[in-house]
Amino acid sequence: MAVKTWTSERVTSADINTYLTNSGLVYVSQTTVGSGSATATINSCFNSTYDNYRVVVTLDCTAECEVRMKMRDASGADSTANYAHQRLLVNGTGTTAQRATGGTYGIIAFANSTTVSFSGDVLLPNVSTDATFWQMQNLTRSETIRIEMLNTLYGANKAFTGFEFTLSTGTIDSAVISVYGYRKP
Amino acid sequence: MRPQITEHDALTNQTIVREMTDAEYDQLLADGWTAGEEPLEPAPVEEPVTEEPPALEEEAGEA
Repeated sequence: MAVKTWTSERVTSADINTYLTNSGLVYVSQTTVGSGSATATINSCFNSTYDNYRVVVTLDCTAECEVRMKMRDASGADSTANYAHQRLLVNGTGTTAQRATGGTYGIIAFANSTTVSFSGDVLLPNVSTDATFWQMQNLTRSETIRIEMLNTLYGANKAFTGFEFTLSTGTIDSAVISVYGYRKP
Repeated sequence: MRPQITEHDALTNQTIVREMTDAEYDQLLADGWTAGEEPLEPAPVEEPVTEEPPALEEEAGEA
């Protein structure tokens, strides 16, 4: 959408509809998860309307853990050994790096306490000719400031329609998972 | 105890919470999921030991 220059004090319904239709980041879904679940699945959130998405998560859990991800389609979760992740943690003056390949799940965040928030982009999840790439940053809300980044890859060409989170240990106390799509030009 | 699974469908905006199927739970365990810290078992209560004072030996008087 071209940049609009206002020439009148009146905003018409057509103007509003134009902005709603052409906004850059479009709400897709929001899921509230209560206590007792180890897995939260979000189905039918990826389709051809958008190529790239943003996922924002606020998570309280019962134990310190990894937050694991699997891609999903109509057949359910994909547990093939196509996942890899690279982690970068900068905490004070110390830096930690970690990598794993050939996993049956990806890691997209670390809950270094039982309260964590993370967000980032999911690139090309519904494009059958491309791999899926997650770029996430997470913040442990009760810890001191730090930088923690996870790049996670599903390294085969496949179209997915959803994803799921699973904790490595314990269960979710509460979570809010929001998905937005990047509008195509 | 087997954890639950929360499922959300973005098309219908419906969320359900259900028990995991056997296959889902088996996969969860195969991926290394653990339930976390088990409740601590109470420490065994030790029985109070009552020591009886040693019997006083009567000093044998010298004859």
